[in-house]
Amino acid sequence: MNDTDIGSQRDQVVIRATPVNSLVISVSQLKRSFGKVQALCGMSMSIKRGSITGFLGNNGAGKTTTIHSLLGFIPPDQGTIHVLGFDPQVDPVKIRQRVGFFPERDQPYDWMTIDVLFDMGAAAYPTWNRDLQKKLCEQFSVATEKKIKHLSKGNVAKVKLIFALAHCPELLILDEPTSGLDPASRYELLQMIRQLTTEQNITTLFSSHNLDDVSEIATDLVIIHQGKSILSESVSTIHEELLLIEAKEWTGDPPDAVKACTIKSAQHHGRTYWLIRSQSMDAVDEIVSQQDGVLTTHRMSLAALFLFLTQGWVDLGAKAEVVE
Amino acid sequence: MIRPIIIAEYHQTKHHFFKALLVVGLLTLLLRFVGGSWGAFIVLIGILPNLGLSMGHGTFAEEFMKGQFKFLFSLPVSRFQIWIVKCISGLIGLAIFSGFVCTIMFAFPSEELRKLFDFLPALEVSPANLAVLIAGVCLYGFGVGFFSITACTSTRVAGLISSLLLYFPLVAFWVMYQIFASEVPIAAASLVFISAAASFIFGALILFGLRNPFVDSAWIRRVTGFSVVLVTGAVMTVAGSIALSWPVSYGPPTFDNVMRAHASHDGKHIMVIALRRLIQTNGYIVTADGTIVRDLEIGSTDLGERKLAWRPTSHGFDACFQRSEGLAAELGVSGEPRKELDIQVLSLEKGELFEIPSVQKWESESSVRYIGWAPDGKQLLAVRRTWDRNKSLTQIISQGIESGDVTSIGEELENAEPTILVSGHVVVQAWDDAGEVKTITLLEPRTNTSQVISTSSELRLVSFSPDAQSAYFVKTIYGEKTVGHEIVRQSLVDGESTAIVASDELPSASLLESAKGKMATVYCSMSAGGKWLDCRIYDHRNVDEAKGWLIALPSGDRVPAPEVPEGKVSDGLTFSPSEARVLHALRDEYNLNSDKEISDVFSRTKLEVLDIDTAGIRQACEPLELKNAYDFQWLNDDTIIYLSNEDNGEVLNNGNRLWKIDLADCSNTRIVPKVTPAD
Repeated sequence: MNDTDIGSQRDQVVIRATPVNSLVISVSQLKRSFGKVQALCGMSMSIKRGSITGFLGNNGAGKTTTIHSLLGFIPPDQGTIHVLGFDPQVDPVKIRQRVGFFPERDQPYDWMTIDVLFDMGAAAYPTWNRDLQKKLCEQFSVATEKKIKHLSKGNVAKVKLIFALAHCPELLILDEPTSGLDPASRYELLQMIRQLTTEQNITTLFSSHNLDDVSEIATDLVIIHQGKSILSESVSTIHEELLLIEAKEWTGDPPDAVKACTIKSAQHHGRTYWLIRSQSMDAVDEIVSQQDGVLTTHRMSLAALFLFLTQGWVDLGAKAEVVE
Repeated sequence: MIRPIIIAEYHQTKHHFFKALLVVGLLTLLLRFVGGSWGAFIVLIGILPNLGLSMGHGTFAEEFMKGQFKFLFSLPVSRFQIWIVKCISGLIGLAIFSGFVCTIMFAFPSEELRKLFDFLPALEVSPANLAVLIAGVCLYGFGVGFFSITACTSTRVAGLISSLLLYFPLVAFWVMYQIFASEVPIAAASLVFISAAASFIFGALILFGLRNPFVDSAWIRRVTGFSVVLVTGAVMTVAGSIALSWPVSYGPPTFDNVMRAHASHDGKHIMVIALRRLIQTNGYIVTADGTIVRDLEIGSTDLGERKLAWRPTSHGFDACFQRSEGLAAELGVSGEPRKELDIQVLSLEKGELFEIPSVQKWESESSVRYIGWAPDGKQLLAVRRTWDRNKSLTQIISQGIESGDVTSIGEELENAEPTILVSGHVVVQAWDDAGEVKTITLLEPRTNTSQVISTSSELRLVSFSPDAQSAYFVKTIYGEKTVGHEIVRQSLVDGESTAIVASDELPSASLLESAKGKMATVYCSMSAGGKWLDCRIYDHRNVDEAKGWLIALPSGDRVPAPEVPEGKVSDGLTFSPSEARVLHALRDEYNLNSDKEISDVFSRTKLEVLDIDTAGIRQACEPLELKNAYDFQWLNDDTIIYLSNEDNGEVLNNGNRLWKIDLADCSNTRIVPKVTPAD
């Protein structure tokens, strides 16, 4: 597998310029290492208000480290972070008051009843809404007199989600919310997230390595790989503007027109692939037609896109849309 | 925003609280009542410090063990708030648990508990010091547990380290005690424990700040942090120990902090009890010019306070204090027997301090109180008191200094209170249930003979002469129409009674007035040397006028007592050793309507020094006006010593200084110590 780094050119492509006042999260050149392991090495991303952003990455890509940095749990070695206009290292409490956080593994004391947990929440968050809490409990059929340790994994996830939402946060951060859940619970939870965040217009960042989760509810996508974001786009843009060009028996540089809009190139099973972003399909068609029979274009599913970007693999599969 | 943490802490604490309390309570009860003195010892040295350790360890154990810090930290609360709630909650839990254990320990006094304090090195630990000791040990345990759990990732490692840290100082203290015996002050050890605990708790705060559950820091940082705090704690402990025993000032003693002063019988020496170090009291024997004859380390202040009762004797000074079981008694346990006395004697001539070796445990279940020396100077006299059917029985016993023999003197007496005369004779007055004196017994310890002097409601004992040859009474005389008094001397040799002041010389009242309670009352007291009776006659018909006479003995010649001017109150008369002089301290009378500050009224003393003989009273010196001066004592006929907490018009905050009045020139000067080369 050859993975050609396009470098600064790619950065220019993936970092979208959005107005500052519409950004809920702004991360720039974030670096953090743990001993000799560099977890984040120049991570940058921006999340705009009102979006549901899927935060994708392999295990160990740096998703959780990024989220913990956003909430002020981990001080960065380098780089700047702003969440809702606050620096997490300066005002962590202000950020946590405004953010609903759903941790992946960490859960409240297992001897606690859900009622006590919600009492804690009401004491901790000035904006805690008891009516909303009750409504959510009814909606998700959560019996609040039960102890956490007596709940199933799916129900614990529901409780954590209610805890994260009942204080009417401006931003909801979900760290692997569906991890370890059975398909039914996973489906139910995702529907809840989509419904609630849409209803309440909450900006949402949710990390996952499950591509199906992301494709179901995300409006935007950030892909992180080896401590860096390698793609940050809206899902509609991905579907409409990203194309994979396949070249048979190609040597040397791509055609100039392709090279100008290449995000990533790779070789796989003797073929060369270029992932391009183009706002004009006509221009792409023209290039392909000039190289008669050598170049083929494909629409990619999120799964295929993710594999190509992170592994350099091309597995268009049944789900991948192929554009001739 | 600490409410959510308090809610979590409350629910977390109550989770196993009552079960744990029950287990600890049952264990304490078991050890206390089944384990005997060993059980009580284990409670003090095992249960209490380990309670502290568990509380300290338990503050964060669950959070570190189950990773629930991440949940707490995801709430909008600061780390410090979490730490402070956890710390306070742990301390409250510790107070409840240790209070519960102590209640079980001390609510039911028993022989086991008494034995415990025989067993413990804390021989002279007072209730206050015991409380400090228990608090110190518990807090130290808490600090160690709290510190360890914040330092270690593994709760088991934390438990191991804290156990080692917990018992190290206890073992060190035990070793120190074995080497230095009673010189190791209990209160000091407790304070060191508390200061060490404080350093550990502070260390826990530092380590807690360093630790991040989201990024468990590298072990090298934790070990470094742990070591730094451990070294800091050790340095603080050592520094605390040194500070507590360091001299208050370098160089010779200054007598800046005198607690007590006693004039000796020889008229030359003064025993000065002064604070020498922050927690140490010294006893000095000094002459009137301040020359230190003997510099004696009495011990820590807590011991020193118990040894302040040095009193002049024919040997020099002696101090007597209760041992061990006194603790139980001081905890408010009535009827707890005390069977031991320590008596130390300080020789004037050589300045030698020796402990009476033969004073030993009396094996009966009775309390023992030291009253004085027998006439031969080789016997100690003590009172042994027992209770029989709620009646207090008193037995006077004599303990041979050299032989160690204990001899009973006379019969057991009911409701009796013995005192000792200068001659060594013991006077025992016994009361009936109505509080009237029933019998007066004079005991001669050397010959073990006793003499019962008849008494009645009409015959009120004033005193015996110091040589125990005669007794003086105020006798009520009932005439046909009047009631009067006379002062009578009764010879104890031939029983002959003589009125030294006849009834017609004292005021009387009619029977009718007497029936209405309007009669004169005569109160007399005898000077220590037995040369004077100081009598006050209160006439109820004219309560504002109290006549006073000084009656020379044995002649009965009278001179008017010094007058107490209007607006003044008298502290009484104090006779000089030869009883040719008397000092009379007068203070302002406090008047509620006066605009003077109460402290100002009580701080002023007018001191009169008077020559006295049968011809009358004359001023030896012009009266002295003194401020903040008290405890006037005659050193000899020409010198008076006193304490004052004022110097050059400034009230001292740190104690008293020793002063003397030289009657040769009627001047008062401060006694400043002069150190002579050591022997």
